[in-house]
Amino acid sequence: MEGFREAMKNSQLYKGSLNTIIMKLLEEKGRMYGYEITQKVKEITKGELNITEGALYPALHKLEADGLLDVEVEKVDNRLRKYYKLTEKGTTETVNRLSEFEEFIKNMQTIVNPKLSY
Amino acid sequence: MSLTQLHLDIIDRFLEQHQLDFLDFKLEVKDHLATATEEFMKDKEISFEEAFPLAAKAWESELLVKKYWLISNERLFPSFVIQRIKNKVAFHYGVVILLALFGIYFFSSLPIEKKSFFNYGVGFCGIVYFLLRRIMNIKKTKTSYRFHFDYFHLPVLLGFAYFFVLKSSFTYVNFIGFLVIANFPFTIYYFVKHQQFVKKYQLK
Repeated sequence: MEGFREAMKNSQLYKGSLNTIIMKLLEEKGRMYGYEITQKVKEITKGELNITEGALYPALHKLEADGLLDVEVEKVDNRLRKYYKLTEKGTTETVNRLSEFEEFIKNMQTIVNPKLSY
Repeated sequence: MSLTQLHLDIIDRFLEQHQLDFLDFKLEVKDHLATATEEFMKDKEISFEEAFPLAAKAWESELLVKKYWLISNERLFPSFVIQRIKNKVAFHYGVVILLALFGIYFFSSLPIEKKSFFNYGVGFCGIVYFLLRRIMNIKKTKTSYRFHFDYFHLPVLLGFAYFFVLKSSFTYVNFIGFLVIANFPFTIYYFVKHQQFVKKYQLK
């Protein structure tokens, strides 16, 4: 699947969740830059999930264009760095998406393993 | 371990070699590559010369240079830039041509005395276009917005010269004139986006 490295098993399952992952991280951390997001995802998932650069930036720019993310530019170590943070609309949307995501996981659990879900 | 200015210049040249000159893409990629290189240098205790190729490997497919007929036949672009702007270009082209065709259809049904508005319209759009272009040229910042802005430079130039400077009489409808008018909203949009980018990054 485009967006996640081939090493990850059944990566098709993760399709469509990239935006939610980014928004969840930004909700927790306040603001982050591109490289930091890729490393944080890798760290949390112990290397199981690697977001490619080619998928991350289009996703970030799309969220920015949709008004869900705001941008701050700072000079760090002689270069310009673009930080992303959630807008008010983005914060509300994150809550909605996460609850939708949790519902999806719950439903999947019910289907895949009915005993565990009750 | 922070990179030196020389290291950053090497990254800059590397990106230029891969035809990445639009700053709205380049600055972010440069920071990403620089940070990844610093991490490799720290974690593996290696030099910049060893670390940079490792960091650049992740961008290999994204920075592959290609030509795309719809965007430009004169130069190459990194593949990820093509992916990002090709739909915008197609949309820009499509809307402008459709609006121009609709304009011709509408215009042909207008009484002759009202057609002089068209002349003024082309003149106004042409003057604004060239003024904005002049403002953009004060700073030589290259962005994809500027590229989109310049996309209809030739039709605007022709249309403006034909209808306004040469003061042609209006006995028939000209497609180029409508292209100038139809392109006007895009002219404003890309100018604003370019200026916002320059301001946000405080570029000189």
